[in-house]
Formats: sequence, C-alpha cells, structure tokens
Amino acid sequence: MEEKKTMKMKNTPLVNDTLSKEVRFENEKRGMIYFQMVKHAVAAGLDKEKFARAAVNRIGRDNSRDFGKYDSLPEFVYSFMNEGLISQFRPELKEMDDDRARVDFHYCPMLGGLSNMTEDADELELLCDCAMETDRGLTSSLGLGFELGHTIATGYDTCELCFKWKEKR
Amino acid sequence: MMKNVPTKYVNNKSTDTLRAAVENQAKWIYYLTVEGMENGLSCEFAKDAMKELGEYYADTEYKDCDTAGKLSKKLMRRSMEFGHEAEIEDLGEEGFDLKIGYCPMVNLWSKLTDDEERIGTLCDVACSMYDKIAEKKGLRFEKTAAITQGCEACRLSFRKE
Repeated sequence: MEEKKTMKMKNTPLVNDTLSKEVRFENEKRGMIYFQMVKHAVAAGLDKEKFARAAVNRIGRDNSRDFGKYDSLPEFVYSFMNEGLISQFRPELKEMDDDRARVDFHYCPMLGGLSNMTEDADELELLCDCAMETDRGLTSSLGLGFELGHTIATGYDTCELCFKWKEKR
Repeated sequence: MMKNVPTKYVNNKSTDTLRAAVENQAKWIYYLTVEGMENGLSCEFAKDAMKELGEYYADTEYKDCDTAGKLSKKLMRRSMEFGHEAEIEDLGEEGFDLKIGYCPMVNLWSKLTDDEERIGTLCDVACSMYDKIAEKKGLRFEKTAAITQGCEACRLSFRKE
C-alpha cells in the first residue's frame, strides 16, 4: 500500500486572549465540519473536489453581500483586513498599489481544524485549496482578480492572498 | 412561525463576535448540506458528518467528562452561554437539560431561506453532533423543544441511559 505523505506544517496561533481563543475554537470547528461534510458527501457518492469547490464558492459569493461596492483596491483591502481577520488569521499587508495587493496570513484556524481530522498532506492541500473558493467566490462577485500563492498547507510559512483590481481607469 | 430574537447580551461586543463566529459555521453547514441535497443526497450525509464530529469531541474536548455534570459544564463555553443565551437545568444523577434561548445558527439560516422546513432540517443536522457526544458519555440525547418548531427556546435533553 502506498504510504500517505505527511508533512510537518507550521501553523501556530499567537493571538491568545480569551475571546480570540473562543472564536478560534468556533473557527476550527468550522474547519472540522467542512472536513466531515466533504468526507460523508464522498461516502454517499459525490465527487470530492467538485462538491467541495461548488459548495464553498457559494459561501464566498454569499460573503460578498457583506462587502458592498468599492472605488479602489485599497478600500477593499482595508475592509477585508477587519478585526476578526486580524485576530484569527494574523494577516500582514505585504504590498499594495492601485492595481495589486498581497496579504499574507500567518495562521489559519480552518487548517488547524482540518489538521485535527487528518495528517495526510495531499488531503490537506486539496481541502485547503477548495476552502479558498471562499475568496475566489468573494472576489469574483466583487469584480476583483484573485490568486493564491504559497500556502501553509503546502509547507510554507504563510498563505499568500493576491488581489487584483480589474476595472479599467 | 419561528421566533428567534436575542434578548440578552445585545450590543455586547464580545457576544456579537461569538455570535458572528457561530453564524459563519451555520453558513458552511447550510451551503455544504444544500449542495449535497441539490446533488441528490438526503440530509443523512450531513447528519453523519456532524455525528462523526461529535465522536471526535467526545474523545478530545469532552474526554474527561465522566459525569453528566462535568459534560454540562464543558458544553457551556462562552459561545453557548452568551451567544446562545443558554442555561443548564441540572437534574443530578439523571442528567441535564441544555436550554437555548436564542440560536445564531437559526438567525443565519433565516437570512438565507424562508423555508422553515429546510431550517428545521439544518437544525437537526447541527444537533446531530450532540447525539454522538451523549452516546459516548453513556447518555441519551433528545431535542424535546426547538425554536425551529415555534417553541420559545430549544431544550436539549441529556439523560442517563
């Protein structure tokens, strides 16, 4: 039997006030709910990646309703980097101009939850990428471009979220 | 007709934050369950998912809860006590009831659909987790009242087998 690849990821929360820890518990639980729902949808006969991407993209498109319209990329990025994101994902604004921005996440509670369910590196990588359909759905609904660079799930120090302003000026 | 309005800890920033986190969970439960059902599955896959999560929590978070009293205390984390306006009615050796005065999950689902039957199904999915937690702790779980059924509060009953 082929041995499954496991990987030591670095995914350490450093914001540990009481409220943030409580919220992290709920966010990790969300990651575990996602894992189990995908697992049992597959057991019931659905295609794993197709199901996960479709469901999570819908979540992202729904999330866009909380964002409204933006006249510039920086306006969106500052709205995106809200208090909840700061305490839960430790985001760092690496670079930004009018057309492009990169936000690095130093921690992911969803990945924390997924890691409680499996050590299989390939599974974690796939489920992580499918989970990022939230940001793909969000940005496509807002008319923004989005690319995911390196990720914690693939052994890097941070997740690189790259946003692009698409509107012509 | 459901009535699900928060009456405690309203405009409390910490509670609002916890409620928002639970609502986010509810959104994932909604779209994952609905996607499955729109692709021909019954809601049982989602209930099985939550039961397996319940099994995980019974073996980890609630590992040391060898009495009903200990379990009831551990279930009452801040998101439950404040976010759900929850109270424990301790019945000693017999078990306990977890009474929920407000449900952030039902609040979120109500924003996504008017279909009260669907909301009831999602409520059953979410509460399936407690089924397995109770079973692994030698208790029997029953939802004896639900906001989704028009009750004033949810009553989650945990009784010694």
